[in-house]
Amino acid sequence: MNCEVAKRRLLAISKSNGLPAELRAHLAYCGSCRAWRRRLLQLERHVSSLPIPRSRRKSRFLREFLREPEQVRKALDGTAATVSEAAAPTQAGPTARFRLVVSGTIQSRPMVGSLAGIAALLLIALSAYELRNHFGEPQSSGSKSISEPLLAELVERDMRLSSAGTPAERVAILADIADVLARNLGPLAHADAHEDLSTLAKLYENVVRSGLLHQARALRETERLPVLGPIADRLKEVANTAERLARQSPAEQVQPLLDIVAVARQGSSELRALWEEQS
Amino acid sequence: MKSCLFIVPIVGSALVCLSGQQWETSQRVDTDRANRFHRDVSLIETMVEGGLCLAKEETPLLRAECCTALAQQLATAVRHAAKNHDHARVEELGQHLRTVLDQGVAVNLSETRKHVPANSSVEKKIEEVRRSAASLVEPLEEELEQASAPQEHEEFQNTLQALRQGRAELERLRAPTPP
Repeated sequence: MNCEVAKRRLLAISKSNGLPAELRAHLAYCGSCRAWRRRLLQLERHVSSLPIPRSRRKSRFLREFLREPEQVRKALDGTAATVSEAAAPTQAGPTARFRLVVSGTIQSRPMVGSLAGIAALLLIALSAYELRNHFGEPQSSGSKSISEPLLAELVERDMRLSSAGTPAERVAILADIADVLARNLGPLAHADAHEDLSTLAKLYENVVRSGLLHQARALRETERLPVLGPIADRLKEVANTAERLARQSPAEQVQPLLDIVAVARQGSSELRALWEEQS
Repeated sequence: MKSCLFIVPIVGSALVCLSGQQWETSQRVDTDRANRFHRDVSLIETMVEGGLCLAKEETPLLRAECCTALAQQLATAVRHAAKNHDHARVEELGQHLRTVLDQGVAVNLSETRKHVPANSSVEKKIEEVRRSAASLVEPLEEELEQASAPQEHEEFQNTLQALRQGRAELERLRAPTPP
């Protein structure tokens, strides 16, 4: 056994354990390793007596805890006045002292109380929202549902069209129908409903080209800008939405979305041309 | 200020939960809309084409004819839903059918009648459209009344009532018989 191996073994063995015979034999003839072992034992003995650094936080707390009653009263202002002499820090037990210190800290920082209140309110609102979602709202069940938003909206628009007397009214209602259809773009794109999305694109095109643009041409010149301006903006918004969806959608869904982009952009620019030609 | 730090994780987790909830709700609404679109696609096509027809036609009589075509498709859908025992759908479509008969067919026929003399050719056309619309409702009423199970008969009561009201509106427009 050489000195390096002997020192490694000595480091691995605790003081209480006995030394193996091989190591004892090495120490018997190696003075350097014996001296090294003596230093090691000395070090081991002194480790337990090393001082532990004191926690500043603990000492600060203890200082505050044991502070003079007058100082505490100053910090607490009004609160201290309500505390009876019997409960004064010097005479009362440690619990009473602790309460005074804590209440003093909170009173001196009103911001903390307000923020905690806001957090609590937020949590309560969140819980209420969660409960309402679970128990309050009727869960839609696909085929057996009472509400038919899209169909009901279309029936309502059709009935308005059936009594619309002027091109301006018809243009407004047809633009509404286009919007109602466009609201289903996102849901169909996210649901990977390729065929339904193609149907929606065709319907949208029919409404814009055969309905909206056709009726817009029948508007009086003075009506064109106020009626068609907002509709042209809405068509542009639909084009932007469909374009964004096309960028996020799988390849087979891109074409119907791009068709809608083209129809909406063309519709918007044709409407713009209609009011610009009057000026 | 250090004491305020405990609020940050509370508020943060609350906001994360809230946004998660909203995302989940929005996903559910989207799926629901897509499913409904798929189920109603043929009626949606009918309603959009009907809307274009109504926007194009200039006279109330022609608009009444457009609405009769819409009513025909709705009556077929009600019949189909009744065969599938989908009571909620029967009720919903029945209400739409009544709306189309009342506000579409009857209102436009009534408007037409205001401007035409009695016994004119237009009057005959009004009666023709009225009969055509009424003939959609009568057999449907009978089918719903003769529903197989007694509890199903109860379920169809609201729809039957809506259809009877729609038909009554059409009956009021019946051409007066010459003395």
